[in-house]
Amino acid sequence: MSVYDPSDTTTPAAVEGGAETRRAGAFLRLLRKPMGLGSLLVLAVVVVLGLLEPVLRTHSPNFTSLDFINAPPGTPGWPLGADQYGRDIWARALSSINVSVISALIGASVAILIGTVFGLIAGYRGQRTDAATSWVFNLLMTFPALVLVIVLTPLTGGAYQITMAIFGFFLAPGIYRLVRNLVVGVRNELYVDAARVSGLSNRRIISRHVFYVVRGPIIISAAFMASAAISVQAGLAFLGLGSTQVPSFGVMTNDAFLNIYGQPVQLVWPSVFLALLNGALVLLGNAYRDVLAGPQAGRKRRRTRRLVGEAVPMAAPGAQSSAVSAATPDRGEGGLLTVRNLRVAYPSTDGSEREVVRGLDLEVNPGEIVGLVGESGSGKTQTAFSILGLLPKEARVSADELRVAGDSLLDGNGAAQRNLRGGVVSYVPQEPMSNLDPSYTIGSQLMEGLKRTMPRKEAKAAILALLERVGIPDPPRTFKAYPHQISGGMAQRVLIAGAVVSRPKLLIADEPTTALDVTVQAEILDLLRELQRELGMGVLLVTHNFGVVADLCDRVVVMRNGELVEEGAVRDIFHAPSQTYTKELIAAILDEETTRSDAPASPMGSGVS
Amino acid sequence: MSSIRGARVAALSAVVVAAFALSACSGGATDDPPASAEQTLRLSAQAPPSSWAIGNAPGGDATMYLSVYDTLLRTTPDAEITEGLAEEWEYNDDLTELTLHLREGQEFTDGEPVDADAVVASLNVSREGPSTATNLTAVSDVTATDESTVVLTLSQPDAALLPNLADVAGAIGAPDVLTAESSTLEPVGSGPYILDSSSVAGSNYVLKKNPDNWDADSFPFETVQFQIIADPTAITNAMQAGQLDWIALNTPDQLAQFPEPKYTSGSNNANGLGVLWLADREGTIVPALKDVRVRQAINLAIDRESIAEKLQVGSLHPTEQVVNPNGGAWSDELNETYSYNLEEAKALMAEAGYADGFAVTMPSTFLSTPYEPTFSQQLGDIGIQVTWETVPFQDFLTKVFSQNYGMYFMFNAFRSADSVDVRGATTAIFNPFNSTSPEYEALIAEANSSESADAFAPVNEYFVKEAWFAPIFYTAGPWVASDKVTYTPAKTFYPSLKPWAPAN
Amino acid sequence: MIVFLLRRLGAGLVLIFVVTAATFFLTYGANIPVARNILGPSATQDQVNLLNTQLGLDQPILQQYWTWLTGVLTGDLGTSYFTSEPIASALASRLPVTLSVVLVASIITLLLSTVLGIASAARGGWLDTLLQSVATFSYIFPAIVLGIVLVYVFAIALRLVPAIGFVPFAQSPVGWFLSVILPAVVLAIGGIASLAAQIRGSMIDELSRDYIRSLRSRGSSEASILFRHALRNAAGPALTTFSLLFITMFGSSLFIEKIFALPGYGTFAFTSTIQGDLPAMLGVTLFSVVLVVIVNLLVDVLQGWLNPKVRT
Repeated sequence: MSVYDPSDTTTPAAVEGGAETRRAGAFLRLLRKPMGLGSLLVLAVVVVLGLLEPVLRTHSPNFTSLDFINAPPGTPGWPLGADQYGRDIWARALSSINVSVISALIGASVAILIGTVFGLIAGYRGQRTDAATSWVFNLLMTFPALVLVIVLTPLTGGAYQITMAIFGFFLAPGIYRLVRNLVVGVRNELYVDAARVSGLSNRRIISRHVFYVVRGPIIISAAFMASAAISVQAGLAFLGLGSTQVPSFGVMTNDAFLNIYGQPVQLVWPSVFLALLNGALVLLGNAYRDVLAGPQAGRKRRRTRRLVGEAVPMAAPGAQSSAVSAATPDRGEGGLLTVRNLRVAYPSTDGSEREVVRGLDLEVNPGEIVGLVGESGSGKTQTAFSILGLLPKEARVSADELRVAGDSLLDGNGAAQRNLRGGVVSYVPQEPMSNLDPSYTIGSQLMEGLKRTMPRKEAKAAILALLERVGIPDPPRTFKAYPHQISGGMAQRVLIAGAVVSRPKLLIADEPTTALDVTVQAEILDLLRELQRELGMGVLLVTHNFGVVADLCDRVVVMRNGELVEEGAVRDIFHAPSQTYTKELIAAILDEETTRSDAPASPMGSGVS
Repeated sequence: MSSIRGARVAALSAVVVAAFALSACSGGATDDPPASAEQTLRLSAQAPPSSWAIGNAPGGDATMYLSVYDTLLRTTPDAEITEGLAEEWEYNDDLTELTLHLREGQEFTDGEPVDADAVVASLNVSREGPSTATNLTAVSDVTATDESTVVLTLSQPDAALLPNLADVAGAIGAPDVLTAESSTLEPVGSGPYILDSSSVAGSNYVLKKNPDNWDADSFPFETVQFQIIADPTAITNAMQAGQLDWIALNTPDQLAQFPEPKYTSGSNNANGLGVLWLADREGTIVPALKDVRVRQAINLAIDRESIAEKLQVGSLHPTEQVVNPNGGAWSDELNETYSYNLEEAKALMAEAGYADGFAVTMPSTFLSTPYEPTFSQQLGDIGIQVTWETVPFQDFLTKVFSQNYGMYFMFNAFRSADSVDVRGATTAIFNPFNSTSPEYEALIAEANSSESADAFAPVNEYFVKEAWFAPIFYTAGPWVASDKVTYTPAKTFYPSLKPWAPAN
Repeated sequence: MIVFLLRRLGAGLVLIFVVTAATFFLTYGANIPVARNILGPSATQDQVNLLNTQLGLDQPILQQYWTWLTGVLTGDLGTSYFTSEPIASALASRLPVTLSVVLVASIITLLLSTVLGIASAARGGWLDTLLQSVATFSYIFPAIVLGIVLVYVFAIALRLVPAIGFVPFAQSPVGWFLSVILPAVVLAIGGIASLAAQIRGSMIDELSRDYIRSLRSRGSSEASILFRHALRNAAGPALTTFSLLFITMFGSSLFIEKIFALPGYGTFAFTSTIQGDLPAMLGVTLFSVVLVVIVNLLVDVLQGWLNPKVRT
């Protein structure tokens, strides 16, 4: 009757890096969620009612008493009354529970068995096996299962068990896709390789590692498939396909439908039981998915829910904007960017707040390149984003002063900030490819912000000129190209062009070279330097790499754990770092050279930076 | 494939469903059209006609079919045989030769005359036709003696012949297309209505009045629409939503939904019956049924009164006979033969050597499910253990016909005469074991040679005394009409649109 | 793209061939007593045998299949055993009914689930919770009961729409709409939940992508970010879900057609199966697969339009 595509019930991300401890607690955490506990309880109660049918039932489900035809609910001995044939509705409901449960078990088991086996094989073997099985399962998935199940009734003789087994076949592609994708995802992971090296057979590898990873999502899908099987069985029985001797909610619904004018209340019972079963299964699946997604899941949801719109920084309570922090020397030149006592905090699950930037002071002067350095989780990206106004909504940003080119960012509304951003401050991201919308041409994306400030033709000319300036060989072609048609280096040039097209006063570059090839990195840094000189911009360069800082910056600010560690002229700091932390960062240039190795240290790391 | 016709599964299901649900057709008026002769009568049917071809009439409700085709004879609402295409008819003395004198000037809708040759052609097709052949088995020859006279020669007297000639077996179609493929969907007849081309096969049938029919004045509606609605609740919904002008209801308590004066209502006469057919009287697979005492015990063990009283209150009436309560063969006295008496039933079982009862398997379809538990219980009381075997409806005929079940529950629809009903109960699906007896053969031959109204009473009495069947109830349910039409129920089966008229 | 579509078309043809062949051998091989059912109880064994010969059912199954297959290739799907209608015209007369309902249901589903999905992804908070609850409830609530309630309220009590039946569009566009709106709502209700969930999920995924931040840093308006960029990119997966939904609705229309007494494709499939009308059953199967292939091709074309990577 209704459809729920099982393939959308989970994402591979939900099970990333499932560790034993996490898994062991999954069930307990499920029980701790009201939705999980509630739906489990409902499900358990209904199933137990079915199991206890021989004890609980007041009559045999097909027993009729002519004296109790259409008996109302509450008639002694007939808890839910009797239908138009004098059959005990309570007894029939109990039997129907068992039919529904068996249908769910058969449908889901067949789907899981077939989907898992072929998914494991296809995902693990890959190549031709994968292509062939995927093709077959794609076909299966699109087939109108209901029609074939009905057309094949003469073969099944109306036995719902067989019908459900056939139906399970058509549910299998959902599981197959799930398992295959997950297996492909983990196939090349190190532990599988390691296992292979250590001489385990393919089957052992699959059963031990891969199967372990995919079982969570399978359980979730199974809940939805069970619900689908129950609905389909009920629907077919409602139509009158199937044995006349087997009571089921579909049969009960049909009987009630025929009797609707006499005893409308009889329609309630099968509906309630069906709704309880389906509802419990669906909610259970949802709850289990949340649980498997781990502690991050809750936060991820909160974050994503508020993704639209920005966190607006507020003046710190009681602070006076004129207050000057003793920690930072006053440059006295009326700096391009002035940040005083910036604090960024996130609410955590237990209700408290966790600060990721703790009272930072920062200054960028016109024409100055300042490096903001620190390891992952030091708060440097949070700082940059709070200036850009790109933090998620639930971030609490406060500062005594947050001022760009004389305009305060503390009291502006969204539109004013947007103007500021499009014109005065601009941004060059870390990953060039993911920062371009794959669905639009490069030209149209760059034009988008610009069109509000200048005529279309002019904007296009400006962008074409800039594309040329940033070293794009054939600007008109690139203008019309889609992101996937250009290289990463080109994409970064495009983004730089996009950032400077409005002639900003301040450019914030967040690790602008880390995602690029070594050969391209130097070119991009050169380009940034040249543009900075031409346009006289101030630049805040966020990086973890002291090499880049040494190459480009005038001044450097070192951050750790959300606090300023050290600041000063690049040469000074580079030659005589006063803090151990800074020394380590400088030493790291030699170790890592160009590759960034992010430790998953930052609690914000997965989502925000 | 083109020549496939006959009583189909669809047809059978139409018969039984119609009898079961008591709702062969129903009707109504469009959104407030003037209540005039221009008015459309809107009815419903539960199944579409499987074929319109001669010899292939649907087995159940034939109202649409017999509105398009005229018949040689007709029945009156009081179940009398009356004139049709034949103005006059007479038998010879030993009832083996029937002469029909045809009406002059009737034409098929393709312009061909309805003459003796056309009648001979149609009857010869019907004699082979799957749904009509058994009705004409007594006919050995059909000849046209002149343009308007047809003589039927019979191999033996057959009292059912006249009623059958007023039914689908007497339908006359245009000779040019009798066996043409087109006739399955586009009938060419001379009846009071013409199947309109705006009909959509399988879902919506529109009949337009044929002004050239000799009896056109008896059919007041210019247009009659039949919508195919299988689901009884959907039919009730349609009636309540004003989309139909007349429906039959399952039970009188539904009448509460249709208050006066917006609706009128009444009760139909008997139109079908539910029987536990004790088919294996030869004892082929259930030896116990060969013993008349066992069959009588079964009849005694069934509490008809309580079934009729409690199930579908007001629509089911207890009966111990397979003939129409409005017919000449019916006897009120006989209906007291097997009043519920468990002690006597048990005694008879013991006497027959089945004190411990026996086991029997019966087919279960959606038609029998409501009654199965009751039968299981009441038969169980005299030691008969019933196992119900689910049979998909499309396999029911075959399974019963190929002698898989010694006894089974099924509905049958009354036709217009005792002779036809008696034959129905002793042939085909209701007699798969070809069971008979010399006494029965003698009685039936005698009845067929008689022209009196109660000719079949002795046969009926024999059925009851010998417990050939275990009839349970006959059905006669309520009907509802919108305030735009009137309806006058006929005494027996009456496949005609005559009972409906505009309300003025 | 053209090559890609041709390959998908080829795969579709193989699907059509495989599924119909499988159905043919399963149903014709099931020994359904077709001739006996057609002729009814009164026929003799000779008549049954004769009919079997007429129908060609006495021939080897491979030969029957060959006859059917060559018939299909010349556009002849055979004739119904039970209504004598040519299968092709029987399907053609029932298709507009089901297509009407499914199309209107599709429009309802698309509109509502897009609005709900976007609102819930973009606004979050109590709105999200509310929408999710409504979606879950609509998924759980038995559609049949909803249908019955709607009929009672809108057809019987208010008499705004007909309770049963179908009015062809050509006959009366308004009548057509009124006759399909209730069934369409009932059909749509279950799908809205899953499609809205899909759109919500995809929108959330898209909104968390880097390019959104980049656009925002360049000063794009929220409306443009939401509708021009996020929705466009979220449409791909949603389209795939919708195509599955469309096909499922086509199958599910059977239940709806029963309640509303619609002479549609589902009713035809059901009665054909109940009667064992083999050519009709095969026609139903054939048409279902053809529909699947067409829908999938359309989805491919649309995906190409949406996604430049597929296009080139």
